[in-house]
Amino acid sequence: MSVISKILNRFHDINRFERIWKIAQVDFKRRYYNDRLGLIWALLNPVLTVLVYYYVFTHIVKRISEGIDQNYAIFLFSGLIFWMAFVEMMKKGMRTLITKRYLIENIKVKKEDLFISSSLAITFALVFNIVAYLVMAAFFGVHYSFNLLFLPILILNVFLIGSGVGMILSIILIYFRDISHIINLVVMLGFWTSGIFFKAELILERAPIIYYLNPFVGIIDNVRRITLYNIEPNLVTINANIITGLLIFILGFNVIKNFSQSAMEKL
Amino acid sequence: MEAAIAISLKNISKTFRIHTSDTNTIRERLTNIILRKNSNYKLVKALYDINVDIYKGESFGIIGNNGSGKSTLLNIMMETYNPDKGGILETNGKMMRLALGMGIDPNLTARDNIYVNGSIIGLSFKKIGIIFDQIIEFAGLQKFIDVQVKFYSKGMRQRLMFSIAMYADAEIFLLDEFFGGTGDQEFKVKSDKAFETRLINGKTNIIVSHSMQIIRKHCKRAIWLENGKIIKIGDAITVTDQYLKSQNKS
Repeated sequence: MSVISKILNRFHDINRFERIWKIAQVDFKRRYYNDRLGLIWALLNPVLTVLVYYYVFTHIVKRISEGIDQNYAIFLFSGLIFWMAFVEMMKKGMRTLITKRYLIENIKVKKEDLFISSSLAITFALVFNIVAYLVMAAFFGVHYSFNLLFLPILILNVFLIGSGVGMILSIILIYFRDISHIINLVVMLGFWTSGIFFKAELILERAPIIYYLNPFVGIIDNVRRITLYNIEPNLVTINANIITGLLIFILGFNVIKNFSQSAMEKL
Repeated sequence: MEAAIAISLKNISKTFRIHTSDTNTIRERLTNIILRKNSNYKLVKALYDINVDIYKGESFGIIGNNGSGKSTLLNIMMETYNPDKGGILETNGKMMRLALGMGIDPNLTARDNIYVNGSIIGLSFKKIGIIFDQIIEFAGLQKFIDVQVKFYSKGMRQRLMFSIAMYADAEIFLLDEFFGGTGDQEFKVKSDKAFETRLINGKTNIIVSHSMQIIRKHCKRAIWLENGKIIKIGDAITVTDQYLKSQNKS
């Protein structure tokens, strides 16, 4: 960790990076070190989820897992950890104005920093899961190449989308409390259409609209290309998704800058 | 010679929109639109045209009854709320609001709380590392550095918050019913002294209190707010005298 803060130190506003880093670290600690099992929870959650779906799709609804040559559990795991990280960033981000109220009201803090920290904390956990996944996949006979270098871009992509959506929703949540019901619905929709359970080509064939609308189809597809099939990522979707991510992030950033004060009044 | 201004408030007004019926849900907004019902809200004006300059190094008192707009004014100074259009707020220096029990996350340890608070105020980790031991020692929490604050007693929490405030490098403090003299007798003496030397001398303080003694003791100037309007601004003794008189009458 200190290596990264050393690199960050080179930037102009050292304190700001330190601050974001510290709050992220503390968030992470708070989440994973307060229980006995600690970090294992970060891993246990997707593992258990994978077990359930693995059983269902290989024993009950076998058609879904047909045509996937790789180990289906590993296939599921790769998609799930990325999707779950996004959902968590969104849900944590959404409540940031409420959970970090004790800071906002007492010290002048740039609110966008709080969102970045919150998503960063979840990124730590995601990286932890990815490492666990890579070890497992290697165990099942997957070989890696330099394509793995694309992985940080994909992680960044999830971070941009997750924190951006979190910032936007945090404001909406204050004005429309029942938005959470709709979000649950959208999360479910995304869960089933992001290609976590099947290959991206299937979506491209049957419902190309989803393929282009939902960036996670591309992200998860690319994750599998570089970590499971050991082939080059799809550069078109990588670029398109990074641009989508940046746009969402910039939008969220501006929403927070412009509306967070009026929203705080309604808290 | 004119002293440098720490906080300048010009034409600050604040209007809150209070919804009389609950329109915090999409369902209600939709039914309102379909039934062509205007959503009911009333405008509540919390502050009227406040003009104050607070100078660097001065201690400035704010008094008034509950609901007179004191908290709203602090929230505007902290930029938690936006003032109405036309109001101009200028602040000059790092600000920290001190209210007992606030600014501390009970789920974190004292160590983490010190680092989070310190770094938001603008201290580098290096600097926090240097003052860390002083903060802990002042609060007398050496044995509890890595214990979550939620396991602290109320007095210990106050001591921690107070200590952070003492050593933090903020230039402007908003003291919201927050004073030295918290905790047991020993700490009370120590904190009273620190409060005098570290905060009152040299920093800019905005003190909100219901205690006239405190305002008189620490502040040169004060304002008296009532229903969002400045009733009186000026010398702290005169302002508090008039305030007390009006209270006795009613």
